[in-house]
Amino acid sequence: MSSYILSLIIWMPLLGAFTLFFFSEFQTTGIKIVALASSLIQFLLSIWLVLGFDPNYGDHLLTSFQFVEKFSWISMSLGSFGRFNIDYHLGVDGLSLWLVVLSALITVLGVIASWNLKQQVRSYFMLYLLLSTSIVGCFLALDFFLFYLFFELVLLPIFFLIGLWGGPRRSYASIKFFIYTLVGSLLILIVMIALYLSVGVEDPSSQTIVHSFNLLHMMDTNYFIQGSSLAKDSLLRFMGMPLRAVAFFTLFLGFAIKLPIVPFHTWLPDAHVEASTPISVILAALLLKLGGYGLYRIAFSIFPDVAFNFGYFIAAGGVLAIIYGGLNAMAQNDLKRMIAYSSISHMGFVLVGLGSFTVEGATGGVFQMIAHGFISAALFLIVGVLYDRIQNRRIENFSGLASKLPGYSFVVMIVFFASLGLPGLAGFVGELLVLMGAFNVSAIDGMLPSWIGIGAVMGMLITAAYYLWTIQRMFLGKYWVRQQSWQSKMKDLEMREWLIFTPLILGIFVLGIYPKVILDTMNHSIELFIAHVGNLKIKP
Amino acid sequence: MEDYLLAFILFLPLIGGLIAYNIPLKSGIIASSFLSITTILAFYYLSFIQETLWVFQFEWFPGFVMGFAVDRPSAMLILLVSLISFLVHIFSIFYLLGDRHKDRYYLKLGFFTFSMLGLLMSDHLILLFIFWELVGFSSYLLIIFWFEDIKNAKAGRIAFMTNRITDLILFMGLLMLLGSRNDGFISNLGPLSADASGKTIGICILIGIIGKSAQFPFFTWLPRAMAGPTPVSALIHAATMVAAGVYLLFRLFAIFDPYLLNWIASLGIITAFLAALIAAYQTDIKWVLAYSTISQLGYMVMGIGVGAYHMALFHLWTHAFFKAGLFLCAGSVIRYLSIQDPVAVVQDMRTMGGLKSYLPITFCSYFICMMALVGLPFFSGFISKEGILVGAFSWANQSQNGLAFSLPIIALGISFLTAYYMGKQLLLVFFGSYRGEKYLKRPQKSWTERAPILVLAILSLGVFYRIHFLGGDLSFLEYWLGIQPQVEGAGMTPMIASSILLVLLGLGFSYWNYGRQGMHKMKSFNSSRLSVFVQNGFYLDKFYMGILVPSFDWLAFKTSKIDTVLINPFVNKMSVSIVVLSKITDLFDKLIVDGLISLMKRIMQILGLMFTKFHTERIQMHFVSAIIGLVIILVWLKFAL
Repeated sequence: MSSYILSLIIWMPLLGAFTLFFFSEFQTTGIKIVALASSLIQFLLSIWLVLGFDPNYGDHLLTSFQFVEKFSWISMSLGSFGRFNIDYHLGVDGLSLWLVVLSALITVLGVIASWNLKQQVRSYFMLYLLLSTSIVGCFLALDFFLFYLFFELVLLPIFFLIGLWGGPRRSYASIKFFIYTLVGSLLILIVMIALYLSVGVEDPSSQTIVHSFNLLHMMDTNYFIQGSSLAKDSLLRFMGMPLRAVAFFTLFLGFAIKLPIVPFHTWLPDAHVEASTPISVILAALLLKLGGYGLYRIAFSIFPDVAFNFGYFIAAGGVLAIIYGGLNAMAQNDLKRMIAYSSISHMGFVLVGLGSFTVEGATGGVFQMIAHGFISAALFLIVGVLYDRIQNRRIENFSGLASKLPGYSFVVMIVFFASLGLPGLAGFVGELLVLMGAFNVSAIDGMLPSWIGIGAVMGMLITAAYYLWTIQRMFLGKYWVRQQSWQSKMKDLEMREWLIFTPLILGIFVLGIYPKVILDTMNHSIELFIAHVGNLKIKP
Repeated sequence: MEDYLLAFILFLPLIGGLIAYNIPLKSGIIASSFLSITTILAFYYLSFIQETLWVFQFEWFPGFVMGFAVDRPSAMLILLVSLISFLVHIFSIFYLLGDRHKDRYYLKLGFFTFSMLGLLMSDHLILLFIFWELVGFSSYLLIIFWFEDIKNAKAGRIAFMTNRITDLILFMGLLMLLGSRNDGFISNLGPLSADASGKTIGICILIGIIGKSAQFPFFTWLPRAMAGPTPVSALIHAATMVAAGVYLLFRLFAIFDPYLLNWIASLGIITAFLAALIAAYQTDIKWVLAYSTISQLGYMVMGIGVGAYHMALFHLWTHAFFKAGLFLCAGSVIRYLSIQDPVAVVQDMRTMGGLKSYLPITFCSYFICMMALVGLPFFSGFISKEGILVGAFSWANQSQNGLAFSLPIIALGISFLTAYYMGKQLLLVFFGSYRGEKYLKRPQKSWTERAPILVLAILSLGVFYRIHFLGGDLSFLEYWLGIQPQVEGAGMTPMIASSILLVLLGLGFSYWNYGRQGMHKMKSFNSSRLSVFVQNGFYLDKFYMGILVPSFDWLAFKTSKIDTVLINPFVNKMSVSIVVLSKITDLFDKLIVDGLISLMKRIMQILGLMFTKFHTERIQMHFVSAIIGLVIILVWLKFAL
């Protein structure tokens, strides 16, 4: 069984979604229980995966994947173009392991958060479970085509989940989201086809070239066909740039839209704000990670030579996102919008970490993604608590909530301070690692000038500014809410909400105090990743 | 054994706070008893610690080892922190009597003590920074303890933000230091390199230190932090947390080069002077003490800068006791007055007076602590201050630069100012007659109020530290710190004498202004421009809050406009133009492409209609058309061939 565990993890929610066909629209409790059960099983399976994971497996990035499943899926002859090969190819390493666990956990919490849903319950949960399958599928796919399939499959449920169950401007937001990410996907598609045409092995029996979408082949320069457009010695140029560089930037942009990177970020505030609470949790905690993961697994691993030369620009883009997102967050009056912008700011650290090309930086980037998964989920749930009660989330409509809602304010304090990078909570470790990477490079290599690190630290300051200001405006002072009718609805957290917040807060504490828990299993893979990048680097 | 002992010392305050939080009715007693155990353990530990370091190292994440280490100076400060924290816990039982959120208070206080002890024990730059931040965070939590008053909330935020700015600069310095070394253990650190990067690191660390220790120009947060409960001010904003900067400076003394140390010394003396000047103009009982703290911290910073770092640490120790004592006395006064007269402005010294006979114990303790602060013989402050002064003089002696003598001379001048503002406070609060509205009743006797104050006052006496009146006998330092500091002997006696003289002059001057009959009429609270300027802290705070912060907000606001004015409209316009384009295409489709098709259709229809004419049953018509057709063919053949 353990050899099929990855497939089980991926398809378990979809199985649940199919089961929902046997329910009528009105058996809402049954539907919810099925959704909860299938996501819970997925989560338990992911924990089992962690327990069976060997942290020191493999001595090269290409051989470091575990629990690999590989079957030929589509294979046909294309005459002079060689053979067309798509594999069902899954595998996990230290990089994806914890993202899978995070996805499974957030999915479970999202089901609990949607427990009070009234309208169109069945279709909601079917789409929701489909979304879960496709997100986890992205993290585990080792075939580019399969990855792309899952990557596109994410769009469909999200589009409907925002467009049908969202807020007042939901159709605008969902279409904006769809178009932005579709553009990103198309950029990825172009490079995928180009890569497919450049990568292949000669089949000794038939003397034909067998092309494949195998990501591992694409990461290995030996598999590139001599003289093909994306081979390492390719002299082809596009507008004066080597084709490999063009391909890298196309991929980079494709994933960076999802991350997101300034100035391609404006889908994010709209989508997050208009989505219902559980969906914005999924968006922030998981969907942004697809972009980051894609950068690690695909853009950087396939084109390390190009990426290495542009580390400076990538890190600078990260700093731009950190500061720009922070300043924007500061200016918002809508709590949810503020948090959405803070997501942009925090994901900038992933780029800085990647751009530093150090083990610390890259580890920090992944850690930041995991930590942000926990923190942003909690942040959006915090907004959800308020919105559930009174359908309002303007910061200036509240004051002194701490005296009326002590439990809620306690959660808010922990989560806000985790997000602003208080040591001992999860947010700090990722930022520390990223900054260690950034300052390390500037000390040793001279590749990243120190203003990158200084800019990132500035961003941390801005983060502190807007969180503290929000705490002061909403939670401190005399208790006051704008409308009299809200008074009776302002109740402290109920059991179900504590149930959602507790695992997140526990995670925030554990990751912050003892990051070794996840870094031990991650470290080896990141080292291999950096070694892979370092081996292929070309000094300008 | 030592491992467990120190782990107990570190975690007991936190555990005590957590337990106290869950048993609200007995929270004060529980938290205090945990602290008493901590104090006893700390004392016990200090009594047997040898020269060897206690070291405990652990791997925080792969490849990153951090560690704790305790040597004599830190063990001494551990005792200091736990003892004062214990006394403050006891005092808080009195001070917070009847407050609804006592449980929360003790949790925060326990958390602070834990963080502060962790800060003293850590031997790794990053670990130290972690506790450094936690200390700032718990300070924030305690300042906003009475958060229902928005003023307190704002004060907490500003204190935290100022600290955050300097902390992050410190963080950068530490990271750069870490990036250029193999490990970040403080005990392994060598001097900084002399190049630009070494200077940058030094300056970054220095900014972090002056932020935490409230030195110029970052001192404005400390008076604001007085918004917290007074016992908190005693513990955090007088005795321990603000001393963390001095402690770090002491720890990292080895890495600074003489050039930077000169800067540190100058910064310290400037702060000490400015703060003493501002303190002389304050009217709020706690603000005087706050500025006095800043001034004394400046003294310590200068002491380290001139190389008398052991003396500075000693001053930290003595200052912690007498300043905590003064704050607790102030707390006792404020609590007493606010019970008597809940509506009055209880912290304004102009409305006090004559409290000597109502609060005799408080008065006595206040007197002793004040004598220690101004530095009169037989009190603790005298010994440590004298040490720093002597250090400054001998430093100036060795210096090439003649300007160096300005430091010890200004330091002497500060003695005068200190004596003046403390004498003024004593006279305004305790002497004369009460100037408030209400008639004062006798206070309730409470040992939780009196015991901590008395203990702190007794510990401010000089006999614990040195038996002799003058001279190089510093057995206390030798015993606790394990070092014999270099002390210049009799040559410095004139300097000490002039210091004592200046203190007496300052006290006399304050008596001249406020002590004489009928003279406590707020004579010096005049509103000349200069005094208002000084009283407001040179408008530094106004500058920050009125210019820097709004311009930052403006920047944020403008940046957000990029999204709403530039990017979003661009995206929307683009989508609109795509829609328009598709409409045009649609029109093209309808008018041109479809139009052509329908035109063809029309033509076909017309042709069809025409040709249907041929299919009639009129023979003649068929004949005629056949003839016409034949003619056309013939003509065509004629011309074509």
